[in-house]
Amino acid sequence: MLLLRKETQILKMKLNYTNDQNSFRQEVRSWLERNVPKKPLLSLDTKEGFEQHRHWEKTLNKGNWSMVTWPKEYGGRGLDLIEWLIFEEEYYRAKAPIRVNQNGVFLLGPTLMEYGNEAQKQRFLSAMARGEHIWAQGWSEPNAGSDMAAIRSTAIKQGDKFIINGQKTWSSRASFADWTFGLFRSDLETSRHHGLSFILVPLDASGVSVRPIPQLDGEPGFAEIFFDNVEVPTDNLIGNEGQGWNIAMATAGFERGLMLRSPARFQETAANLIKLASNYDNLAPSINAALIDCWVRAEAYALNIYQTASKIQAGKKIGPESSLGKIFWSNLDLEMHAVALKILGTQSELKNEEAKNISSWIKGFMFSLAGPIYAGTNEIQKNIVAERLLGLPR
Amino acid sequence: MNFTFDSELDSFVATVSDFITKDYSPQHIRNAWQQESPFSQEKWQSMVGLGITQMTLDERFNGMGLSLDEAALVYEELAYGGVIEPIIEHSILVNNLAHYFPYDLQQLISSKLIDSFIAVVHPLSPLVNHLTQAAGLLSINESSIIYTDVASVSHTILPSNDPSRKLSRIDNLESFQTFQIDKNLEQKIVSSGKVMTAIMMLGLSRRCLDITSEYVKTREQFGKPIGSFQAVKHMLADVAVKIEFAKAAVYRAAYSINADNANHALHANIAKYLAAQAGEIATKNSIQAHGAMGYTWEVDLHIFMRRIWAITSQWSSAGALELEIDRFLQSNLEDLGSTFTFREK
Repeated sequence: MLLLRKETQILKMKLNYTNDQNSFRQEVRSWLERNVPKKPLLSLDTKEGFEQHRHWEKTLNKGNWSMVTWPKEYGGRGLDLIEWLIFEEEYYRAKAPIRVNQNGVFLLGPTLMEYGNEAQKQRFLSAMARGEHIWAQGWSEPNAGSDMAAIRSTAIKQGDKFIINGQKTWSSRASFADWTFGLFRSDLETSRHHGLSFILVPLDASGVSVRPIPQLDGEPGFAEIFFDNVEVPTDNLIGNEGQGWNIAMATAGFERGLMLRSPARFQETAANLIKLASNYDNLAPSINAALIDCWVRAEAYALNIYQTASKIQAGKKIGPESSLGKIFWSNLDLEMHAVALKILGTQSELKNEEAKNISSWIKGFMFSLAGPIYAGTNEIQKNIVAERLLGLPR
Repeated sequence: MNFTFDSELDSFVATVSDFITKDYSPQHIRNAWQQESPFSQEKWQSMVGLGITQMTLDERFNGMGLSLDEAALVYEELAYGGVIEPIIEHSILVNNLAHYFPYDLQQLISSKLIDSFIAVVHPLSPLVNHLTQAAGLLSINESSIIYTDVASVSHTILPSNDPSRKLSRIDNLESFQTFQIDKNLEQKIVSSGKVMTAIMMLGLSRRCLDITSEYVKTREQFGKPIGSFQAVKHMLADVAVKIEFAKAAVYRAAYSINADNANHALHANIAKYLAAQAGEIATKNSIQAHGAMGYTWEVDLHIFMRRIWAITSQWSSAGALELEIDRFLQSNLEDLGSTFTFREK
């Protein structure tokens, strides 16, 4: 039997940008050149810095850049994932501010797009795009960390309301955010993954109290949230009651797989690392080898994400593969910063603001230490890979 | 920008996968090792019959004219099967590039491209595998390709740690024809050698991981399958991560060769660097997860591990790749960053 049929028409792989994509890049670039604040903003984990970053979200929205993949009616541009990657590349190239609303635009946004009803999309997506609602995550609890199905916080339906009680923790951005999305146990008769609901809660509601938690860098990047008989309308339920686990897993999939960490971020870090090293003579061969390894891995990540984006556009779903990516980028980020600190040597501990090219590495190192922990620890991701991709027994 | 394989290619891969399952079992490989030459003419002809040698061959030679990226998954599947006959080498180093060769050389070898095996020797791959089965030898250097009939080659057979490989050191060429080539073609051949090795690494690493995943599902200790223990799960997950993040880099490098990308050498270096890392951890963690069983001749794992260890330094060692990548980075400092990957020169 002959494998080949000459008449077969193959849809060619094409690894360069179209003219439209190139001109889109130019449009992004020139807008960012005109609008990115010349003076770096204060840390988004301070009250003042948070508001500066909110203001930047509003500026982005005025240019219709909040989330280019969203439909126009919600403040997006109706573009595809390749264009989103291009946008991100230009965004990091321009050293634009961190997205204070990344929980919203990258995680809740896609979730609402898939599971929200029309009224919820109208209400929340646009407010998110305009920077009016900055979102915090509400997953973990003191006794539900890696074992998220052990959630105990409750949301009991009474008429057209949920009454919420309990506690969430490690809630990123919650110190200053406006809203949180999270999982609550709405059916006390069930356990584990069942009977959970995905509910949106305003953080200024009566009965909500927030206790900021200082992170390793001393700033309150996350917080505990306490719920004491908090009343939330049933309109704030996403999807159906009891469907929360599946919706949360979809959100986590966006987070791990694609949206949370676009390759541009790591490519910029890798390039900065190579440039940093080029200022030093006589680096040890082991340092040089580590530098090259980091740069190649950043490139590998970019290539993988372009392939993933292409697959999604061709109609394929990404499932547990997203765990592979999360393990990969979090280790890469940590290692790039660790190598930089070795190169900087005795300078590496300095936090002086005037020498940002030095102090950004220790700050970035502190942040990168969180990578293997958040969005599901890497140990949990490895379990997912082993069980769901390799078929190993639980 | 489209980084997907056409679904038409899936059926090619499925056909080859079927061939591996039915006709190319580890037992066949073990039997072949018992022969004077493990190269099987019968298997070679079966694969020719499947159209393997025609895939990347240009239409002027009655080939299908696919580019290397389009055929990569098929070669990866053949490597997964551990095929002994150097059909991947012939297809990638000779057939995919034959239309770039000097015209007189094309004339000389055109009748041998579909059915026969033409061997290649280059300073980066100096030992020739299965030379005695070849219909000709191409000796490639920076400025020329030398064609020789195998009868005119004096060579010394050298034993390999992989019994599937029958290596020859070339001692002398008695009569030959020399064809001048430019440096670009030689660089394309070197990149092809690296990408080829990387494609083989992907297939072989996947095979090691699959064999090991099956093993840890059934092997029990402490009353349960050892695959239920996190120490074992995490070891294999680490392999899966390395394989996954080598793939796109390998396919991109394959693409760059036929697309005449100015950076094909860099892309090939990156591909081989990542794929060799995948091969290294795949062998290390697979043997570890097998315990003492992995250290035996009886378990099939070693058939594929040996191949990985044998080919990993073909067409450049890990150290040489690092040096070349480093040289590129140092001379392109200002181009690095978020917009680098698909930048056109």
